[in-house]
Amino acid sequence: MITIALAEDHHVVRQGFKLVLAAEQDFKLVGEAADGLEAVKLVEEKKPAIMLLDLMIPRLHGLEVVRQLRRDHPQTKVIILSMHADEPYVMEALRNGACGYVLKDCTAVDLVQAVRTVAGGRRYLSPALAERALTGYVEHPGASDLDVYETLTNRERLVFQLAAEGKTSAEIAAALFISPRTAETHRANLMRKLSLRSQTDLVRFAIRRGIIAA
Amino acid sequence: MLMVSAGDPIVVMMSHPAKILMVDDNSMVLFAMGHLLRSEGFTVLEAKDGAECLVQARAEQPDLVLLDVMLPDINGVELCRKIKTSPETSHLFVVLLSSIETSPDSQITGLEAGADGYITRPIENRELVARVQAMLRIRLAETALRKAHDDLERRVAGRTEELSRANGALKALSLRMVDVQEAERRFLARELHDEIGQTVTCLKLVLEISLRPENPAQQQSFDEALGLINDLIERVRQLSINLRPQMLDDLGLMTALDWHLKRYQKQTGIAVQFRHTPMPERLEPGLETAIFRIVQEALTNVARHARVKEVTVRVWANAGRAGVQIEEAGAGFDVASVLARRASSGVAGMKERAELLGGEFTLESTPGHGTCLTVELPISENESTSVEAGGGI
Repeated sequence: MITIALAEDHHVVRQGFKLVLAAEQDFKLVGEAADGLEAVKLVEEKKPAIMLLDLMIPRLHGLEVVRQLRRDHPQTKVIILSMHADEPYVMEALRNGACGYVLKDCTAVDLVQAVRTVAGGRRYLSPALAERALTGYVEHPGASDLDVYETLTNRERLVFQLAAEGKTSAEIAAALFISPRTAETHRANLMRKLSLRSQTDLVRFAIRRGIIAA
Repeated sequence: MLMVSAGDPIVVMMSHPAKILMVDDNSMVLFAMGHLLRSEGFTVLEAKDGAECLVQARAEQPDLVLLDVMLPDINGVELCRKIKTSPETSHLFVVLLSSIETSPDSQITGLEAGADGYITRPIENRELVARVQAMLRIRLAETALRKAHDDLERRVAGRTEELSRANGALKALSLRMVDVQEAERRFLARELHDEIGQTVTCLKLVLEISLRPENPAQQQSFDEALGLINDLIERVRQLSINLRPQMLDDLGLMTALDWHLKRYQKQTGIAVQFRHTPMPERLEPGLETAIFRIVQEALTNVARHARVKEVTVRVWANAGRAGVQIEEAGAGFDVASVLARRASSGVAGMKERAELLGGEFTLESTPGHGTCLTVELPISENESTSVEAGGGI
């Protein structure tokens, strides 16, 4: 016998899932919750083997419920029910300790399979996700290696070059046909962006980057 | 409006008899000139030296100061300079009088010290009175002019203040509009996704478990019905995502951006280089929305106009600011004309959005040499008062 708790705020959806679960002889639904806080309390009281948890449940977000359950009730395995097939949601859920992730537009077979697999101590992803998982999860979400110098605008880059050569704001302004005040603003902006405090910092930075010769 | 004509007796034009301060160390001069001026209806004050002159000038604010160049304690020209440079007396009319320093050079020196006139003695009584009256007319005209000028300044200041108040209100309204629009989109996106989407999903589930056909003849129409439901689910999902990706609220800017860029890459075939500095876990909701929308809008423009195979998106946070930059080496365009076409371009909208949040918007483009859009926004320490509550987890 596999004991199951169901946390889902959407009434119609809950009825649908109950229908699916009721069809299995060895499944026993031990309780229902309509929000995240109730869900946590339900697990504390009934200690089910499986918690079917809606990701977008109100009052306490599904991800937070998973986090708490894994910490306080690791014997209950959580399967996320979600409308979101997007990788980031799946990853977040798994990272927070969910053992399964089932799309709500799955088939009845899929849901039953998920419960059996997770109860058996393995992880489960809906087939649509499992295929994508191969490509999706190995990819690193963006490269965290941006060099702030890259973010200077063309204008700021010109001002930087001239400032590194020791030109005053007035000279920079004259060279670029802009007002001294604008030149001063560009200079202040680029110093801030690059976290430079002084002209010396600026020159040192420029030399290190090979923008001017040492 | 100045209403002074040469013939008008000046005493009538002024609200009080003109007040004249005579400064001379010679008491005979004071007596004689005082008598003459009083008989012409002027109020006459007297001072015997520079110190006394300054005290009276400050206290009495005379319409005219008749100043002898030779005084016991100070040179009249020097005294004139003092009167003209002190804020309490600089507006007073000063005429220098001298019987010794009458050369053009002395007169020039006196006038350059700020004197409004220079009278040389000896002078006939009638001429002195006529000159004093001429001076007072000028003085009156000048007063009227200054008053008109002050009025104008006050009105300009008033209008400027009204205008800046109106601008402030407009800005608040725009900000509010952006917030309301975003809140509305969030609501609709959730409603579509969570309510309609889930109900249809459930319909499919119920259909599957309770109405599965027994005979093969029914099977085909059953499969068709399922196919239609799947289409509907996908439609609703796309509609919801296009309104506002829930991920932005649930998982934050960086995750939502990464997801959006992958989706964009798949839909358009344009490769996206996504680079960023280490970012705070979450930024305030208004800021996350603004950056997401700017990237979204800019990338849509790239796909539409730039004709490129690759675009770079950079995101950074440092020194109290969050920045985003979208750069490509495509067709390019004339920035001024695009910004001028307000209604048609999302560019003007992005600029406005950035400026409403107190940020800077820089758009650099040259036809044939690509485009670089940079927006930097301040990260405020305290939560903004915007409508956006954000569904952070």
